Amino acid sequence: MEAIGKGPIHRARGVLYHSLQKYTAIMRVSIANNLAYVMEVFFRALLLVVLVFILGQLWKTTFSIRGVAVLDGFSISDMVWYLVVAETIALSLPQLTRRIDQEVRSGQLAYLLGRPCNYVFYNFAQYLGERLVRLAINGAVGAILALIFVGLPHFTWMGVIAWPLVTFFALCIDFVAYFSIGLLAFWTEETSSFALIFNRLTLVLGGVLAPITIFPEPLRSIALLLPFSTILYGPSRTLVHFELDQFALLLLHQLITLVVGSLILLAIYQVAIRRVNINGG
Amino acid sequence: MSIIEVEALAKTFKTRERAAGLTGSLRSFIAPHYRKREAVKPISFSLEPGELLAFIGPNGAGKSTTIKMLTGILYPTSGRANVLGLTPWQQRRKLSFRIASVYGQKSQLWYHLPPQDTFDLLARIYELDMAEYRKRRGFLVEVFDIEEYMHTPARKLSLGERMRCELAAALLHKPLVIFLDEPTIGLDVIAKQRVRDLIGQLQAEEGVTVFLTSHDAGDIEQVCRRVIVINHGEIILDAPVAKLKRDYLKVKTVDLLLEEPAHTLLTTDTESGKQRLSVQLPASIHEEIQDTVGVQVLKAKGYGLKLAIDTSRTPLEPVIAAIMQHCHILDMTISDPPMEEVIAAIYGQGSRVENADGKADMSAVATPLTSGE
Repeated sequence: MEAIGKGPIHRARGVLYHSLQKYTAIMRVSIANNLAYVMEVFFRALLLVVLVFILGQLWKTTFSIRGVAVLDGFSISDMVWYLVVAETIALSLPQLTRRIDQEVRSGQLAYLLGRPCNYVFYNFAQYLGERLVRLAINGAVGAILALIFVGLPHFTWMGVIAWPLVTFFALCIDFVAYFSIGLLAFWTEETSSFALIFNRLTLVLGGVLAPITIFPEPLRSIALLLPFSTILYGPSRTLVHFELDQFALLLLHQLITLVVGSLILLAIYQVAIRRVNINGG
Repeated sequence: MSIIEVEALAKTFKTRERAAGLTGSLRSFIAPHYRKREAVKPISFSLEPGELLAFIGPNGAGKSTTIKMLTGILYPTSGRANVLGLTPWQQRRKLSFRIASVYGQKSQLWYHLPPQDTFDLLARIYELDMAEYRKRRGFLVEVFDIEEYMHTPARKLSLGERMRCELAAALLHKPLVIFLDEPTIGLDVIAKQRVRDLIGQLQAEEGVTVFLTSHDAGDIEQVCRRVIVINHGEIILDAPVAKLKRDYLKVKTVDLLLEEPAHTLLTTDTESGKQRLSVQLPASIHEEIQDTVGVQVLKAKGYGLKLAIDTSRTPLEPVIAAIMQHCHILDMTISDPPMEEVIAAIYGQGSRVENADGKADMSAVATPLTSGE
């Protein structure tokens, strides 16, 4: 039989047009789906209050014991705003690995694989929608908290403009890492342990407790070289303490991390897709 | 020209085996042991445009694996398949524009959102012209009678309502072939019937080719015209549904809840010691059937009575009518024989056919049958 075209009610447009349409539609639906339980996301964001309060008090004590007003370029106000931004990003992470793991084990991915869209991009759009909702709510709660604690921030307009870009890349790096770990469900019985290790390393070495530049050597140099710093420390510092050369270095670091991570993801995906075994049928 | 052509298609899975106990677990961790399982042995068949094929078999027979190879999700171990002129696992994306699949045990609807949102998303994913899409959606909403569910979150829909929405969603892009994997699983009798009617109606109106897997004989009887029975990865029967009904689905199980004790309808055969139904069939309606020769009493306890009725020897209707003349029926369920019994009967028939030819002995029960009728 001769191969067929796309169908009688298909709209003939370019690949880029359709790709943009379909993946933004997925993101929109994902946002709507997550807004369905916005209160749950809001209550989760209240965890920020506890974390920022404890860490803020710790830093206030540290500043007073050392008798300084500025530590490595960060005032106590900068430090609290840094903590809020870093925690906002860290706490907005959805359970991506668990979802992919379950899709692989339950065979739910059969639906997605049977559609004219890329499985990786579909999941990226869905993840981005989910994460943006959490990021927005965390951001709102965190900003109110910091305003109450230390007053207005000393952001520069360049920092405010650059922050969305580096945060977007940070979210992409998270996606590449947690999606790849989720795909390991094709080989391993349990992927959550890998996700937990990556998450804890991101929190500790990524600079959620303090800016990495405050770390003692050689931990400081090691942490700055590792990809975790591009997820939390880099974007948070960009907003709170913008420096053009640091921003350029961060962008380069993020792009290298993303390219290497994406290549690893694609390699895992290419092998995994041939191992599809579709459980439950 | 065939719309689906399958030639010696086979799939073998490699599964890791784990030994029992702590030492066994450690041993499997250090030196894993794998077992090969032939989910689908080399199978061949073809399907013409507009055909309604039932691909049936018990759990683990290889039905879903075959569907997943034909939709391009699974790579086969060997063999060849051609769906709409394409090799599914090599041209999955291109093929996906003209086929649809519905899995009864899985959902494509977004859990917290109304079906309308999923429909709109699918229109984008399948790259549909939005004006055409709206017309198509209106048509399907009307045919499937789902207007009132379109704005209700999917999580609040019953399984039957959800399945109607799933079917409509799968048909939005006007597929030429639709693969239905157990579409009636878990549905109650009325919802099952509704889904079956809709599949039949849609095929009649749009001429779509239907490839349906099920282990519910009722699906096949009412929806399809051709049946392929698969067991342990092998095709054991390829025949018209009429033949399947005539030869293998003729015994119906009837469960009755009576107003009077069941034993008042029964007598015990003095020779065999078995219980039999002692009601007079209405001769005026079925003059040729004067006794309950095709009726077997499976169970009689209290007010409950379970009968197996061979409809080729005794039609259902006069038996039920005769019982109703004797006492009121409070509840009744009529069911087809389970798939395992149908398959056992096919194997049994295979041995009888071969014995009739005098070419095989009585032990040759596992002989696949194919029919070009």
